Amino acid sequence: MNEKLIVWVLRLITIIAIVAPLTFYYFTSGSLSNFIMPVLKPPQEFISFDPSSIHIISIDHITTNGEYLLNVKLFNSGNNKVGLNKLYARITVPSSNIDGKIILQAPFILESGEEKSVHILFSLEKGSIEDLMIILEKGSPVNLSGNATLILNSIEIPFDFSISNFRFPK
Amino acid sequence: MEKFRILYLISGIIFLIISIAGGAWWELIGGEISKPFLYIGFSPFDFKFEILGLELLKPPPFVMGLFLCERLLAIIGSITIIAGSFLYKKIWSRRFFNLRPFIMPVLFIVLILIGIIVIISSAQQYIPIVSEVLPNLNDALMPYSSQYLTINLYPILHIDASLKIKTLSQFTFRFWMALFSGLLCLVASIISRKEAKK
Repeated sequence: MNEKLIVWVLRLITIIAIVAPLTFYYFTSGSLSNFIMPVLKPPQEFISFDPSSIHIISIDHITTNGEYLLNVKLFNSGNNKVGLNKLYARITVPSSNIDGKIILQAPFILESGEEKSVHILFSLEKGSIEDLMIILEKGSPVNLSGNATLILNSIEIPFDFSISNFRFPK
Repeated sequence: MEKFRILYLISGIIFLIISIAGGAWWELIGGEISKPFLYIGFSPFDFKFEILGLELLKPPPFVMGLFLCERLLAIIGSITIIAGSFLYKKIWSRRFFNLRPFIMPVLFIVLILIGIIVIISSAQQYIPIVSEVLPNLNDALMPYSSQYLTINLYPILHIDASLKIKTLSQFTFRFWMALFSGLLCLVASIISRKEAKK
């Protein structure tokens, strides 16, 4: 077999492999702008999720053995199913010597338009419950850091967080 | 069969399998590996960008065409290498050998590094909010670098808070196999040239 012929056949196959797919996609795309522009399709859940659609209706508390059990009533006014699978956070109050932790007692999911009570355990390692209650009632800023797993419809999003100067709603 | 032809043959077979199989060579996973909420997968043959398990960005037909070109070139390159290694009695069979299995993974690494270092750095420089909201985006994308993507919420929500999301940026098994096949191909090429000089 002629070597030159083989070289030319290989070159021809290479050129066809480059030109044919681009030509095919160009003619099926309809126009030059469609051919070049990517298509952005943000999922509806992502667009419509608004953190402010979760409302705190009320916060009650029970004090037991140096621990503080919060009963937080939440309402979901959004269109997405939202919840927490896990929540662990450390709480410090810059203006006083208070240090403790917050743990979600059980995972919860709020359907759209649903109201539910969520139990969160407040456990103090430094400072007293009385001081903390005064601080929370005053709406003084606290620092929170920890980790949580957010449930958004069928997806779970684990993340670490750090929030400075957070004020609990009175 | 000469030694270099055996190396070419192994390299060609591996690269042919990788080219036909497709899939990501580099991937960024946000969240749990088993159920990621963010997934970016990229290879010379494919690109996937998913959020919450749904496709966020569909590449334009031009890029799809390029991916198909690259896949066809990889398949043709592998087939000619395999054919060349079997046609050892023909002097012109050396024309069938090529370095595509080596060139593709090397160019891919260069492309990934340029993409992360140059493009992301430029975006952070010219669109300041990108660097304010995502200060370690470069590190999070760089393979085997950071395991967290930090999101500062102050510039967008005016809350003095930040989130750290677990991320994993890595080259996949397919990439390492493609690189291995490329190295075999390179060694075969060196041996072949040395033998030709003799």
